[in-house]
Amino acid sequence: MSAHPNTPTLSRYDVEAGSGWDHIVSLTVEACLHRSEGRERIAAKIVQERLPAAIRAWSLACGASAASCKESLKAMFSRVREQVAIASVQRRLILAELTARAPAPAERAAPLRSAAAPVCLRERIRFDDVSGMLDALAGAEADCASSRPAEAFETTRLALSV
Amino acid sequence: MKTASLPEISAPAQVINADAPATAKNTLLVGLDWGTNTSSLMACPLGSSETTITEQIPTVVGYTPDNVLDGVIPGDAKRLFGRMALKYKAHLDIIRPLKGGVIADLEAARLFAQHLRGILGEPREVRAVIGMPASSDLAARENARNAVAGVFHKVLFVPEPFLAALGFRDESKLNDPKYNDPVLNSLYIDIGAGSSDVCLVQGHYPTIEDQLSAPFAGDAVDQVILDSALASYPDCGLTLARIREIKEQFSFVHTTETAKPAIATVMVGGKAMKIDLTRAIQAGCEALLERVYEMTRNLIARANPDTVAELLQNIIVTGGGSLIKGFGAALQAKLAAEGFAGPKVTILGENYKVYVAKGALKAARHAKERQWQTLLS
Repeated sequence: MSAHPNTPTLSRYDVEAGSGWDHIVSLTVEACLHRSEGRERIAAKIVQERLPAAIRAWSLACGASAASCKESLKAMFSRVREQVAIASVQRRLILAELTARAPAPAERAAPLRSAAAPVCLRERIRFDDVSGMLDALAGAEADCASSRPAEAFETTRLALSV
Repeated sequence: MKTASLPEISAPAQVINADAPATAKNTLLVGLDWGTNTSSLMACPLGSSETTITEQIPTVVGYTPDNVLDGVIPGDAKRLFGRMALKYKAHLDIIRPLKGGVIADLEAARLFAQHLRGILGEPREVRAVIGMPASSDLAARENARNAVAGVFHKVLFVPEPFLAALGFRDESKLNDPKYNDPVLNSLYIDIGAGSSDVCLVQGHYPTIEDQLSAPFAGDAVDQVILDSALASYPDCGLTLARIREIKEQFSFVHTTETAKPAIATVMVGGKAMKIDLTRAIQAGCEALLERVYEMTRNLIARANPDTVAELLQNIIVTGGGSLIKGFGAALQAKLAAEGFAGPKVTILGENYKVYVAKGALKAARHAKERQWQTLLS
């Protein structure tokens, strides 16, 4: 993409303004979150199929130079990656705290016991695909983790309702 | 291959610089089988195919009590690890950080991890793939993460049966038509200290449907033997630690030909007394055989009927329990008696200790940059 000589120079704020930009940011966050939780295929699908179209539409609409667009995108990708990485660590720490506060398994109500289930693969991954196996395990762990806060809150609710 | 041989004394905690760039020169990949009784460690620089460190260390931390006189413990160390801790066990408070394959004492586990880090040499980025029991849940992983935070920079946790299969597979022979690829259609039985895991490996990593696990393994066998011994000799003063030593020497199942009389010398009231533990050991080992057999039978029943004939030829037993004399033959005989056609049970033997660590190192080599979990120190 090359900028027309008469293309006005827009500020970074102008370049990033508008719903097209918000859509790109939202897709990028979504892709990074999926990737951080091991759902590599979904992340790749967003990056390869949805993001390019969104970027194309936005870059045509905003009228900024190709260099400005690239610069804005690069900065945003970097910022989102960092935010998601920090969020993942925070999530892990919060879950660890909730896990520590939750009662011992024997004290839990029967329907909640499934949360202590082992972290297992739920889909078949070819033996040669070590990287795919690691992604699937990360996904399985994220699925287990997402059931933990609910369990902790439910336990608290049950305790309060007694 | 260089083997590290550092003294097993307390290693200082390492300072981590999370911003250091990952390069082949400053990044070390580690495969760790963090076993309840023994830990196996393998390491290589990032990008290298050569394994530079191979170590097996008893998973033991020995704390020096305050009343121990100066000069008794080497360097008057406050803590000893592994073989050194076992050597001086009479003067130390011995703690095993893991129970049932998962962390039971976080502080001891953290100290042990720091000791492992000391074995790895100069401070640099360390990325470890750590084996976890197939039955471990989220809390077990979180405990392990807490234990190695500030010791390793990045980690991945992978079920041990996956790693054992990865480690056992010899990729250099895949083009050899005579090579029996152990991941195409096999049944793995891993008998550790805390749990026995049985899983189907049929060209893909086992899913939740392909594995069974029971919290009955080496530690439970020790307890059965101890209970049985104390029932016969109430004043013998035997401990679980002593029972473990005796079991490792005399364990056997099924056929009396595989057994030698387990005559143990114990001290009763300061006098040496010989007691016969043969029956007690047989009872413990056969209880384990029965559990493993039940799980094996159940898992075979789940396999696709078209694959069972070949599967029965590839039953692989690994873990400490595989060293019980006659275990493979006894399991094979029980399966045959049940009506399974010509089962063949292979025992990995003493080498089992390296397969999980070897598989973990392979996984570390395959892991992509984004897949590593960064730990906060």
